Amino acid sequence: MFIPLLPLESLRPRWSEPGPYAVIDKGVVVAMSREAACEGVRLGMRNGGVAAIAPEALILEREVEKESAALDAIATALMQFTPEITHQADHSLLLDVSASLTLFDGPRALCGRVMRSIETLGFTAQLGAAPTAEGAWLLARSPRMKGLASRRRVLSMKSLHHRLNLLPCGLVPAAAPFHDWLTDIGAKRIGALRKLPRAGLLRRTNKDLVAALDRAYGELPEMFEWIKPPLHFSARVETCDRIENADALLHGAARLILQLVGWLTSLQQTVRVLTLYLEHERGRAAVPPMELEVALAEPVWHEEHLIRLLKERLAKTELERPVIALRLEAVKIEPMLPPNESLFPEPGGTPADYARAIELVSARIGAENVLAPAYMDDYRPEVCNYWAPVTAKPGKAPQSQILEGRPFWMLAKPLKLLLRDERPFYMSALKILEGPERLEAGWWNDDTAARDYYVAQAADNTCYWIYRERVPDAPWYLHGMYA
Amino acid sequence: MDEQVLLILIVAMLTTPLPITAAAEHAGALAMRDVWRADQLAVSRATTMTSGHSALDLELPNGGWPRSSLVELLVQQNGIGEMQLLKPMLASLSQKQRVAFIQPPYKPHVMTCRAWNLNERNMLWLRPQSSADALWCTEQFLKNGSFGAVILWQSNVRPEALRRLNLAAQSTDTWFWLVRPMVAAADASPSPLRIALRPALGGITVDIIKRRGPHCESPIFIPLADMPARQLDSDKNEAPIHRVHPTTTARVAAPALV
Repeated sequence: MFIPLLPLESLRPRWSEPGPYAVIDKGVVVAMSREAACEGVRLGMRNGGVAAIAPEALILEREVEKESAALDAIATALMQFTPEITHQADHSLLLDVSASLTLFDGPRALCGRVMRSIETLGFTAQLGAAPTAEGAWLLARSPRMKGLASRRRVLSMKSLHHRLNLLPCGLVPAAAPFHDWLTDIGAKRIGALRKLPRAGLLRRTNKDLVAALDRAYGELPEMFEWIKPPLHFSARVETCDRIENADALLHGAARLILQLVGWLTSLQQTVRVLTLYLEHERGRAAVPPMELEVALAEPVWHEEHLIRLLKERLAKTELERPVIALRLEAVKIEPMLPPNESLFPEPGGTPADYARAIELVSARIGAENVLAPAYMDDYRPEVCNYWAPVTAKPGKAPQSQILEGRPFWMLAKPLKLLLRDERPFYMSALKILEGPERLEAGWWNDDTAARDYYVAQAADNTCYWIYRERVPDAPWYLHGMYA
Repeated sequence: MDEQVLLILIVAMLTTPLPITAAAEHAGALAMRDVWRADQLAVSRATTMTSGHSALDLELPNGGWPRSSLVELLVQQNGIGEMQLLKPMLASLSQKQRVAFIQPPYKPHVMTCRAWNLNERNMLWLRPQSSADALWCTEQFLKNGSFGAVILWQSNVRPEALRRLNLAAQSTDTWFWLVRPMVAAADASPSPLRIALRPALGGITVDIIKRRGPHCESPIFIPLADMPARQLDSDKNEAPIHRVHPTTTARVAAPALV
């Protein structure tokens, strides 16, 4: 995995606005965007040269710390495919996927998923695949050559040898000091270099070059020290501009989620609570970062679900100030348990499906609007008809007493009825069918209710539940409907 | 193909004047089983569940509420017995599967749900702030597949939203009702079953506007056991003493107690 535009893309991710950008290091251009290249900016150009040839190009200073942080972020995100990842020279990462091929449906599908993950992170990658690590690295960095098949992915040793033989010698770092000499004796390609007598090559060059070639051709074993994931997850991403719209933060958040998923998978953990911090302006007008806590009913490690949840949460969030950075922390993690599968699929969907639906809906309309029946012992209909958020803990056991003859629909606030011919009137004159049912409760606090409830019928046979307070000349109230 | 059907019909017409034995009738039924007559209700492979009201089951295609389809209930106003019409179905469904009420016009009464034997552990009430949110939630629940029944209340639904709901309903194993006001009956709808509901004494009047089958000419009266008027009718004859106008008693009682 070779990331050619790392110096640029660690400063301006792929999703930011395209435009002519050039990154300079010590006054020399080390990377530029496609637009800048079209305007004539070339590698190795001087600062002034860029300003002269492309006056609109934005010149950015190279930041090495950001580059290594970006490479670490990519490595963390890719841990969802294999735990064996290591850094290679020249902005490259090495993944040993030999154990993951079956799980991810073969090499082609796996390569596609790796490339998509890197695109989500905001980088462009060149992917080389080969039976040997050194060979894959050389293929990933191989330039596009005219007249040759530009395949960078090979599966068999034989085709790897064939491909390597055609690569220019300059790709092997150990061959760089001997570049002129090799060109002079006609060994431009690695194949020609390999044909030279081994003893002479060892004497005239150094051991590293021969060893590198042997590793690439699979004749020497390769040893790597794999990256160890940290025990605590906290990832940060800086937005390149000040962002005032919460929706626009989704790109950054998706990148953080991808890293989180990679980290969780490598440690075989799942997340239950995670917090997204939106960092605001620093300096004189510094304000504490805004916290978005996402608590999940079921511990998860799936990227899509986490991204959808954050999307709904971000869509609901209103930013008071522009955001300059995002930070994601896994607050509570739990070991990943293998799912309990039943032999026959149940028709009602799995409990995990249901929990996911509830979380998604709660994220959009608010947890206080997703309600389930709760228990409350009281005679007052407005009190005993108690619905609690479904995410809250269920209350005590159900009461034994069930009051019959209650309407299905209850008005949130009783509606005062008009009186016509001394009879309550609601769209038509109401005829009393049953009653009174006397309720008296709430005297223990100041919310006393002493009412006589009646069942009334309108001219069109609709039945209502109406009441009047037990005071002289009390008005009638409509409280429910027999649906 | 048409000729074959025609031939069978002609044969059937020819055989009718003859005295029909039981065996011949059975053979005739067997021969005719693939022929749909225009006065019959459509019978398909769709899964249905009995509505719990025999009069209604007779008129519904396949004898019950259809699963995986958008059923429209057009009510004259809310609170006329529409929930009692669904009660037998919801009670049996909620024992094992979840039932969601989305944006109902009023607050559902927990005590009534208990009295109706609905399993309250499986009930869910959503009150989204906007109509767009309600439609979105409905679609999510239908797609999710872990709900046995979803009921949505909407006063204005645009035709494209209706089509979307219809498609979402077809893709799942969920019973789905959409409760709309009666004025929507005049509008076109992709729903295969549309039912208008009007209040009636001790029950509800059901008028099937659209179904797979012949046009339903007369409204059907469905008696509802929990309608208060019903109880009054039964004790009218037994205890005429209670027929004293309750308003007057109340007016007398109230000052006496204060």
